[in-house]
Formats: sequence, structure tokens, C-alpha cells
Amino acid sequence: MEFFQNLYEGFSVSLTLANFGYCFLGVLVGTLVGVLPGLGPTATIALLLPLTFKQDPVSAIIMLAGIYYGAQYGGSTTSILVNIPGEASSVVTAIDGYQMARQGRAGPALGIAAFGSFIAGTLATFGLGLLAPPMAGLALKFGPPEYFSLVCLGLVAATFLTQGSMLKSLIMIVFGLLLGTVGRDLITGFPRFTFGIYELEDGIGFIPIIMGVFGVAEILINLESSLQEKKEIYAKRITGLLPSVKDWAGSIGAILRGTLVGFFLGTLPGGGAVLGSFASYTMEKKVARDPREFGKGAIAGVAGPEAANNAASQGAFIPLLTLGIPANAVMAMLVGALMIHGVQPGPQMITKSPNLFWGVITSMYLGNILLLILNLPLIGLWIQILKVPYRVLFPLILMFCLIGVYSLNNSTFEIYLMGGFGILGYVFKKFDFEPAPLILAVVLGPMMEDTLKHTFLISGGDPTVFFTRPISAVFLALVALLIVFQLIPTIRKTKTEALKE
Amino acid sequence: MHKRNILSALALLAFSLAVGLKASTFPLGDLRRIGPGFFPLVLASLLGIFSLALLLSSLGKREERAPSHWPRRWLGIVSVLAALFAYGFFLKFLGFALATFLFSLVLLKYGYPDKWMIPLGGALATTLFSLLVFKYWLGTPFPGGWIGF
Repeated sequence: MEFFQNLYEGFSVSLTLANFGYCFLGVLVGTLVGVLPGLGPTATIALLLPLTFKQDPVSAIIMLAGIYYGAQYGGSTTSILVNIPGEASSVVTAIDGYQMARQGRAGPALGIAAFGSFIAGTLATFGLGLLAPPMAGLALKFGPPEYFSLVCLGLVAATFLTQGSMLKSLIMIVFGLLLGTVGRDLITGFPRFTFGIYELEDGIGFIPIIMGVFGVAEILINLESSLQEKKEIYAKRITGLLPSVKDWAGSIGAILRGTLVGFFLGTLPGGGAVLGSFASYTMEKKVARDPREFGKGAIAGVAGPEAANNAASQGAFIPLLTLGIPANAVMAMLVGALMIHGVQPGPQMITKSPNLFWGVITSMYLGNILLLILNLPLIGLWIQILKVPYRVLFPLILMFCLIGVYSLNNSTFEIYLMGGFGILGYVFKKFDFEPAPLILAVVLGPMMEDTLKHTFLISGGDPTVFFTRPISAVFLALVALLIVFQLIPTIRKTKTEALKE
Repeated sequence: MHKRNILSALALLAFSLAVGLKASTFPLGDLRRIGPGFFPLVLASLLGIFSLALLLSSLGKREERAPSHWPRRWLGIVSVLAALFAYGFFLKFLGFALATFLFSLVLLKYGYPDKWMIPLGGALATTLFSLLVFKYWLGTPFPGGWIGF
């Protein structure tokens, strides 16, 4: 019954007028950036992070979390109506969703996407509240060596689950870790890679890096294609948003399976919403009575992946809230947000700041209800927003990026940093390097170095502690296993195929 | 030969060498008390090893797709970057309002090369909106420049 007691206390935090307002603002902005292609939750959260400095940490995290899972709802609208994924996690939704829209069934497709997302989001939030406390209890036993091994595992797992070459992901990770070493050494105060620039002494903030690599670089890539192209929106008027009994029968199984798969994959480092939706689509195709329907407007092909990406976005909070280890780039930013507010993310959060922990979790129930309302009756509004051309949007996005980084320290140096990382991110994209592992590494780098130093300090310079402490040994064994797996050609082939589908 | 991979591997290899050389000038410490140079040095070596592996594995490989996707629209990329750095450079001198107006105008003009009303109106609206939200509502202390706001 402690669970319900906790929920009650959580709701007493999340239902205050201010927090409810921030939750609404978060899911509203989330839906907006989800609908708009070319602006993702990662860049948006980076953008809004400086604005939350003056807020109460609970409100800040409630709002930022809302942007993240709200974007998963909004992304499906664009996929279904325009055949351009609003978010990376809605790529598969476009396959069958767009076909449904062309057959005049845009209403049921949007309806089932929203209901599927709602069911998955609510169930996954329940799972999060249930699983996080015991996980955190386990994590409380972790010392520096365990954390060091866990960070290694997280980073290697992130390379394993991202698309493309593992070697390139590993390079991105090491590059990110190196970026994390810039600035004064925490213990000795020795300046590293500062080149006499005093702004660099505190290190390179992850916000200019993220905004450069995700925001500016994305715009540069988009500017390569013509700005005059017109988006064709398939549906003048949307009718029949409520799915029929037949639609429900065809998709409820997919929703539940998608929830499970998505939730599980979401908790893994590097997993997240994209992988969840792809895995769900593959699975639905396998269990379907007639797989040939997929690609021609199968409702299960919309319901499953949409449920999965929502469940995944909720599952991703588990490693953040219990271990303090982010599972993806968005969670990495939330780590930064928590630390800026003086909250150390990790297993002690549940006991030390129960208001924050349960307040954020219960706000997700509210957020999912709000999103259902935002995405069904107000669908017309989002269709209007979809009509805003990119040549109007991109100057606005850039403007907000500029204001966002400048207001970090009221310093133009951050603008130059963002510009520099924008160029770097553009080059990375051109050479097929995925930027997401880099962000994880930038955030986890200082923690990795810190735990390494502490481990050696405690053990008196003996590196074997990593292998003699059982939990740490298990993590490192998993690291080795993941690397060996990657080296075995047959597994590598299946993985490439699985991620491709 | 996978040209793009080889090119990037070589660049990364050079970078890791430079970082490694710089890091080797930092105090290394000993195993009991790890100094500030240890972690960067290990990372630089790892980066070198991975880049070398990328180089070797790409030597025999064919490129899957032709490198035809080099940008054809350089103008957009160059003007966005130029505008971005110029914004940072002139912000203190021009002041927030004027810099924001000019920045939005340049970028909107890129999207509407043969129109004036849309870019001018859009830039004015963006400036007013940013002033209201960021300067007056959220209270970010932006430089006023010589026009004062």
C-alpha cells in the first residue's frame, strides 16, 4: 500500500496549479515540436533548459519530461498526414499511417495512434513507479567501482543499439569523453585544453554542444534541399477520429505488445523510442495473420509502434531516476537540469527528494490525459501548424537557439561554441557518424573520470577491484560480451537487418 | 576504397595525436592518486586505436553510395553560419533588438529571395516577440547596444 501512499503524495505535488500548468506547457510544446519536422525534443529541451534555471526543480523536470513524451504523440500526426516523420521515432508510423490516410482513413489512424500512445504511456508510467524503487534500492549499494563499470556498460550498450557502425559510435563516445575533460581538473584544479581561454576553464557546457550538433547541424543539413518544396497534406477535413470496434480488435494486441517491447527497450542505454517503434513494427509483421497487409495501411502497424515509442520514452526514465545514468541524449540533458538545480541524480533521489520523484511520475499520468485531449479534438490546430513552411521556421529555430545559449552565461562565447559544434555536427553527419552517443559521453565523462579516481584512491592503486567486486564484475563481463557479440559476423548481420527493418 | 571513411579516420588520427601530445604535458600522477593527465591520455590513445581500426577496415571496402550528396546549396549553409557568428560578434555593439532584427531579416530573405514584405514583417514580429518573452518576461539581461535596447 506504500505505492498508493506515494502516488497520493505525488499527485499532491503534481496537481498544484503551478505544476499542472508546467505539465500542460510541457506537453503542448512537446506536441508542437513533435508535429514540426526538423525540430526534435533534444534541441527543444536544450533550448528551454536555460529558461528553467529560475524555476523550482520539480516544475522544471515536469515540464521538460512533458516535452519529451509529448513529442512522441505529435510525431505521429506528421507521419500519418504528410508522410514525413515529425520525429525519428515516428518513421515506421509513416509506412502504414500514410497509406491509411490516402485511403481516407486518416481519422482512425490518428485516433488509434493517440489512444495507443495513451494506453502505453499510462501503463508504462505505472511500471516506472513500480520498478524504480526496488531498482534504486539495489543501486544504493553501488560504490565508485560499480558506477565506473556501469558507465562503461551504458556507453558500450549505446554503441551496440545505435544504427550504423559500432566502431564509429565508439569513436563518437571517446570524442565525447575527451570533450568532457576540457576545463580545470576537479581535484587538482589543473587547466586542461583551455588554451588560455578563461571561458573554457569551467569546461564546455553540454547545452552549446547539443544545440550545435542537433539544432544548428540539422538546419544546415535541411538547407541543402530546396526550401520551395510543398508539403502535401492528405486530409482536408478529418472525420471519424474514434476508431471502430473492428479497428480496436485489430490493434489492441499490437498496443499491448508494443507497450511491453517499448518499455523494455526504453530502459536500455541507447535504446529509447526509435528502437522501440522499429522493434514493435517488426514484431507485428511477424505475428500478423496476413503480413502482406503491412505497408498497405494495416492499423496494427500504426498502433504497435506508436504505443512502443511512448512506452519507451517513459521507460527511459528508469535508469535516470534510479541510477542517475541517462539512457539517451534527452535523459542526459535532464541529468544536467537536475544538477543545475542542485539535485544529484541517482538512487538516493527517491528517499532524498520524494516530492520530485513522485511528483514527476504522477505528472506523467496527467500529461498523458492532456495529450489525448490535445491530439484528438485539437487535431485541426496541428494541421494548421504543419502548413507553416520551413523557410519561415528555420530562422525562428536558430533565433531561439541563439537566445538560449546566450542566456546560459550571458556570454557570446557560448554562441561561438554552438556555431563551432554546428559545423562539427554537420561534418559528422556527412561522414555518417551518429551524434547521439557523443552527447551521452559528454555528460557521463566527468562522472567516469571521477569514479575512476575514487576507485583507485580507495583501493590504493589496485585495479583488480573492478573484477573482484561482484556487481562491477558482472557489468564489465556484459561490456566484454557486447563487444564480442559485435565482432561475431553472423550476429552483426542480424542486428543490422533488425535495425534496418 | 571507402574514401569518406579513410578521410575521417585520418583526420581523427591526427586529432588523437595532437590531443595525446598535449595531454602528455599534464601531470600524470600515479595509480594511487591519478593526476589530471591520465584520463585524457588514455582517451587519446583509445581514439587513436579506434581511428586506426577504422582506417584499416575501410581500406579494402567499397563505398556503398556515391559521394554525390556533397552540398549543392552552399549559399544557405554559408549564410546561416556567417549570420550566426556575426550575431555573436555584433550583439554587444548593435544591441539585442537590432541584432535580432537583422539576423531574422537575413535568414528570411534567404527563404524569400524575391520578396521584401514577408522578411521585413517576419523579422519585426520575431524581434518584438523575443523582446517581450525573453527580455521583459523572463528578464534575460541582453546588451542594449548603442540604440539602448
